[in-house]
Amino acid sequence: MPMVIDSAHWLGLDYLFNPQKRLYWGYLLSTVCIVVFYCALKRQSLTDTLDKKIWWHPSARLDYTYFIVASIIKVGLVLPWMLGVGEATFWTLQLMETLLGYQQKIIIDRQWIVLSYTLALFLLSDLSRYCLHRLMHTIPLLWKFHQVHHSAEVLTPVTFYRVHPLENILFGLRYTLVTGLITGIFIHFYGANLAILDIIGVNSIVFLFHMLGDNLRHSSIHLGYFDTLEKWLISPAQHQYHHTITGTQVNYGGILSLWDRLFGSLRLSSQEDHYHYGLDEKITKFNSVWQLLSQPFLLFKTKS
Amino acid sequence: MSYKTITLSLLYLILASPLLSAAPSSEDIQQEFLQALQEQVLIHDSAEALRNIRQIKQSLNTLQTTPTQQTLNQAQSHFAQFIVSWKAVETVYILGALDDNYLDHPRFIDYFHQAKESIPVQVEQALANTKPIEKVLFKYSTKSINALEYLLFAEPEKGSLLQAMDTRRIEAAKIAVDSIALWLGEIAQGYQSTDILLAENTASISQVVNALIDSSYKLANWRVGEAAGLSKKYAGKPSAQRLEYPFSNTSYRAIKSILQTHRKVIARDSTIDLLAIAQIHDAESEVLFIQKQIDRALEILTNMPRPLTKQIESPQFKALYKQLDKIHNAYYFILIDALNLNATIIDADGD
Repeated sequence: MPMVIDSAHWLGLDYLFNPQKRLYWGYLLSTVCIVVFYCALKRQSLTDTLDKKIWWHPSARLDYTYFIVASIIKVGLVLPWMLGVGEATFWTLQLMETLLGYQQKIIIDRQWIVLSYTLALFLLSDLSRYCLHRLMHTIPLLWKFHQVHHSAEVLTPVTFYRVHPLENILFGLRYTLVTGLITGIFIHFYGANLAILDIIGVNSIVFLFHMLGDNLRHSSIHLGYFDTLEKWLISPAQHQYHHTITGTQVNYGGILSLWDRLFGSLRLSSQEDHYHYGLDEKITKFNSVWQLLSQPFLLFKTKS
Repeated sequence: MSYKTITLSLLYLILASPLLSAAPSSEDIQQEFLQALQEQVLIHDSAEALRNIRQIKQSLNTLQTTPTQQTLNQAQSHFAQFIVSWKAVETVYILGALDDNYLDHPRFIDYFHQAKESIPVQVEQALANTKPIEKVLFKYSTKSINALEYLLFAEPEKGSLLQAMDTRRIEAAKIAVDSIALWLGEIAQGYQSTDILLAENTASISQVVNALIDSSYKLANWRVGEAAGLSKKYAGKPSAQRLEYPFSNTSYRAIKSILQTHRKVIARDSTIDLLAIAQIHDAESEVLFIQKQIDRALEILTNMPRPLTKQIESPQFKALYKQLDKIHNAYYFILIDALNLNATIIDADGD
């Protein structure tokens, strides 16, 4: 039995049972419910919406294979070298004590600490995600690696994991440093009173967004949130536009579109009706797992 | 087997599952820990400290009627005993965090690292003053443990301490003792109230851990590091006067009592089972690590020659500082581990 669990972990199959992952069965189930509701509302046939041409497209099939290979690489090569949040938190604490001196722990109601910590983690994490995502597009060197994700010609929830391992490392580092920084600051001031407001072990705000159709971001369901809400939250349709050949310079946001609005990269879904995913074919080919992994390095030889 | 039987069996299993479960819940474990802590540390140590301070009062009365070296020694001995029990109370002082009314009690009792003015100077001024002693000793600092230590131990410039121990000095010491006993009595009373501590398990346990972190920092940096000239503030400038009890040479006992109290709360062989709570949060190894570090610190302290005033520049004293600093850092690692933040590291994929 442990061998089965271990194999499932290496192949990423445990994602289905891990609420920390977007492919958790609960999120998938809620996604299906939203799709059914969406089809009923739009009076569309469910079979037309979930067209085999999309989920069995060569690009989608490449996503499925790549998901397993990338999972093995992540578990075997990336994770063992990853900086732990614990270390980052401890460094922050040391830095705080060096710069500000020791802080007698502030006594306030635990619920306020938990609430503000959960909110701070969510906001800073989402902002840093926006920043790094934008850098992945604007710095030519990073774009070579991020092209892997944008090379998908159709979008399925598994496309979320079509990410080069080097990008995994960068996003992992981002998470570690931001979480470590915020946690360190909160422990410095409030000590042991810290906890995340969670639902089945997931930051409750993140859980809510996962349940509300995060998986539709990488799908053929053009679900928009209307203009007013799309100025605050990134809708699946907005992210889908980001995946089009012409839309890669807008809508970098993870959950909040607020950052796009503040930094001038917001595009509402109502402004678009043409969705042609992938990269300009002149750029390069990403048609196999090997190409997905090696092309970014080969691209160093060519101009971006 | 019919559908009805299967349905009823399933319903029974669902309803009875909490009763069938033999393992105690995390709430039970927390409650047990807090109850044990309340009885064996908080109530016990505050009652002991109160008993010890009252003993000082008795010995001061004896000293007043029979001023001999023997009666002075007895008062001093009771003071040393009191330091041990008071440090135990101070180490896990959580009453103030649980009830605002008790927030400042320790500051009314103990002025170590708080006074901006010199307590010996203030006490000497009060003794030299001609006004009634109870009127000039109006500040908490001049009625604190630190003032009491000065009154009972500081050798005068001329003559012996016994000769200096006149009625005014003894009265001043009694005023300090009464003040300390008053605040300590309230603390002991406060801990008797079970509902304060047990009302919210998680918040109370958090306060216990905060108290231990606070105590470990002050032990390493204030009580050892600053005297040894190893702290940032006094780097390279050691001074025995910065020890907590420079006149009575009870700093050794104080440090030992603090370490033993930490051990009492976290050690595996203790009946107060913080380890069980750590297990809930996957921080068991950190608690065991701290226990080892505390044992090592106690070993260094026990093997150190005394008095500490003569040891502040010794390699053993530096080793003690490093060891105490390790304990402080290890407490932070318990907190970090308990938050279980590493679980999501690989999920931070791009978008």
